Amino acid sequence: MNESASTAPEAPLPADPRRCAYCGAPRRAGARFCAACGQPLPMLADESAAEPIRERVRLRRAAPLEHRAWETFRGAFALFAILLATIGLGGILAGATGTEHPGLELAITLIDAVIILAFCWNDREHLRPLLRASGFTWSTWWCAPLVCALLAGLFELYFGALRNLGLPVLRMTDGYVEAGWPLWTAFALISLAPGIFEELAFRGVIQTRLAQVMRPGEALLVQGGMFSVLHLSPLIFLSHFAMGVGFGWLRERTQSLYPGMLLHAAWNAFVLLDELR
Amino acid sequence: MQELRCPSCQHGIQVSEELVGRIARCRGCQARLAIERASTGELALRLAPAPAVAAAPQSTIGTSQSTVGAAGSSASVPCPSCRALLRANETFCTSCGAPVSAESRAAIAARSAEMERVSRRRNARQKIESTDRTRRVRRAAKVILWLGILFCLGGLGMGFLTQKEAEEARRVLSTQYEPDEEIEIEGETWVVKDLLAQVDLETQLAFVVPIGLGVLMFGLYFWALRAALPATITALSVFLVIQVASGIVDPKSLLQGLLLKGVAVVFLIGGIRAALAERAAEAADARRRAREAASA
Repeated sequence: MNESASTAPEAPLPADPRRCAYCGAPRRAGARFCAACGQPLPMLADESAAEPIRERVRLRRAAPLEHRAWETFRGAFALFAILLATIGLGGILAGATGTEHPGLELAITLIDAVIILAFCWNDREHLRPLLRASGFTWSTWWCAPLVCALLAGLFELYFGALRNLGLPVLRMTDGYVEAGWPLWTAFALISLAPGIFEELAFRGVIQTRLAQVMRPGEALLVQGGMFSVLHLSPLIFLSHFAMGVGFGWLRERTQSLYPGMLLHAAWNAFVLLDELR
Repeated sequence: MQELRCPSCQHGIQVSEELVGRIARCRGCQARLAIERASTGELALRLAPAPAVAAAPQSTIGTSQSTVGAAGSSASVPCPSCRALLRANETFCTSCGAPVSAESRAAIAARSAEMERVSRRRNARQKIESTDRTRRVRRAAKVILWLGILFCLGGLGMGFLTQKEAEEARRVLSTQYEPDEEIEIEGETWVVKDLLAQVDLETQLAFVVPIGLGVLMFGLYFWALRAALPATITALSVFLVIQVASGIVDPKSLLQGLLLKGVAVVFLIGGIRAALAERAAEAADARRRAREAASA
């Protein structure tokens, strides 16, 4: 009698390996004895079949995540603020000297280029895929002419409306002509350099960083807004906002900065040619 | 001393006999690990249940939940016979099969109560932090609204001032000069009729530009009510650009109203930080829920 009492009852065939065969209580992963009845549990070939431990959840506190988000955002905004400061300084110097000498523009462009390249070097891990030639395929290039055609149509309408209203449109080549600088310098400083460095700054560093702290759509709009307002002319806010968003979308679509650079430089060159016509 | 692998990240961890029954933290992935003796008699590491304080949801408005129950159920004390962890609602040790004594039950109950207390305190703190974040975000939104109002009022004031000066200029030009006459102003030659058109344009722009910026700020305010982070960043960018642009036109304006500008910038940056914190808390909460759903 005693012997039968001390001997464990014969276990029925376990229908469910996640439960104790004697009392039906759920079985914990790695348990050798049932927590409810104390009966020994057979070892399972696949221990993961046992009831998963609900507490097997690792959590991170919010503070480091919040701190990382702030650091990421701060980097993007610092670049924007520095570019704004250099433009402001250039504007104030131009106003103080009373001339718009292209030498000043060259100096500002060089300073901006060094700053942007420093930020790009800092973010090289994130920017490398966007600068890899294999990052986009030829099949994705269909959207480049589409965006180009769309922008050209919208801008023609927009600037046509501005002209009809009699609003002044800034001329960029006058300073070069007055200073006697060759035409190619105007194309290099007004078309090529912004095409490369503004794309690296806005679609590269800023959009990448913003997309880490907010939704991609929001990052697209915010970088478009920053790009637009940095040109400091309320009359072209709308057109440049559309341009920023379009290039940003192109970057998202192709996962490359090159289509945006090409279109940006082409657009600036188109504006220059229109002026020289 | 024996080297074991973390079950979560496979990071190597040195474990000795006297640590059996204690909780360690993996240096690789920060996971909580219970040091136990396996059925074969060797030392083993097991992912330990998260304490109640860590299991509490990250505070976001409307998502704060009490974790009192979770805290109670995850309390554990070491088994007196094998040092494996005993948890609430266990009648027998799952490692050695020994019955759980009344002392162990009392210890588990005491630990549960302590964890509940810690959990409640943490929930209350998170609620306060969440309220503070909301307050800062709303304050930044209000700053955007006020900037919009100021731009509109300033636009109206500047517009009427410019209009008055333009009327005077128009009167002088039309009475003293012929429409096709050329005059020189600050080294630049103007035809009078072109100059009159320019005066009209500048009068219109004096109204349209600041009021347009005001309307933009109103739009950003309504966006900030829905999505505070992108709206506040855009508002701060626009505000700084306006300051720089007016500084280019008149460098003295950079120093005007410095206190007010500083307050606006500080509040906007505070709003951005709070919105970032809120997003981080939401992301952490979503990840926690996803993990819980996956483990369930």
